[in-house]
Amino acid sequence: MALTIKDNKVVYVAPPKKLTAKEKKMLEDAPVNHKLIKRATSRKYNVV
Amino acid sequence: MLELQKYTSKNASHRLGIDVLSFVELSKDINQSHREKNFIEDICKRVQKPSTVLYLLKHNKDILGFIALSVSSIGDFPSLQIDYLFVNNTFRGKQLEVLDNLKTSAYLVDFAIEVAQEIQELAGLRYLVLLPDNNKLQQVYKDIGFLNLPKQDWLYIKL
Repeated sequence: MALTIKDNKVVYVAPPKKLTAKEKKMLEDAPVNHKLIKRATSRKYNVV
Repeated sequence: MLELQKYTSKNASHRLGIDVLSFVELSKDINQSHREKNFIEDICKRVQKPSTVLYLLKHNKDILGFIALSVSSIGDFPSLQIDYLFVNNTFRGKQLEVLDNLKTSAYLVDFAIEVAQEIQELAGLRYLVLLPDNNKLQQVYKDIGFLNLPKQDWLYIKL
C-alpha cells in the first residue's frame, strides 16, 4: 500500500524517486511474469 | 453477479468512506481494525480528489474487497501504484469460485495488472508497485508474483 500511520496520522508514502544504479539495473533486468499477466488479462472484468 | 464498482472524483460522495465502512467487516484485532478504519477513511478522501480511483469488488450483496489505484513512478519509471488493497475480513484467505478460485487479493491484483496493461498501451507504463503494510503482507504479495527491491520495502511487477 502507499499508506502508513505515523504519529497517529495516516500518511501517504511515495515510491523512491532516487534509485541506485544497481536498483535501476535490477528493475530493468527483472523478468516479466507472462503467466501472471496472461491470467490477469485474459479475464473479463465487469466494471460499472 | 460479480462487479467492480468504480469510484472517481466525479462520482464519489463525501459519504464514500462511511458507506464503505458500513458494508465491510474489519479485522477482529482491535489495533488492526483501527488501522484499517483510518486507511479506508483516508483513501476515500483521496478518491474525492482526482488522485486515486477506487474499485469496489462486489458479488451480489457482498463486498469482497476493494483496490485503490493511482499513477506514480519508481525512480524514473512510470508505474501504476496500488494505494490500498482491502479484503473484507469475512473473505480473507479464502479462494472463491466466483473469482476463478483465486483469493480476493489475487483477483484484485489481477485487475490492477489489467488496468496497468491498458495504460501501458495508451501512455507507457513499466511497473505495478505497492508498499505492503507489514511483513506478513510482503510474503502474501510475493506469493502472488511481486518482486522486491533489495533494501526497499516496495514490491513491483514488471509489465
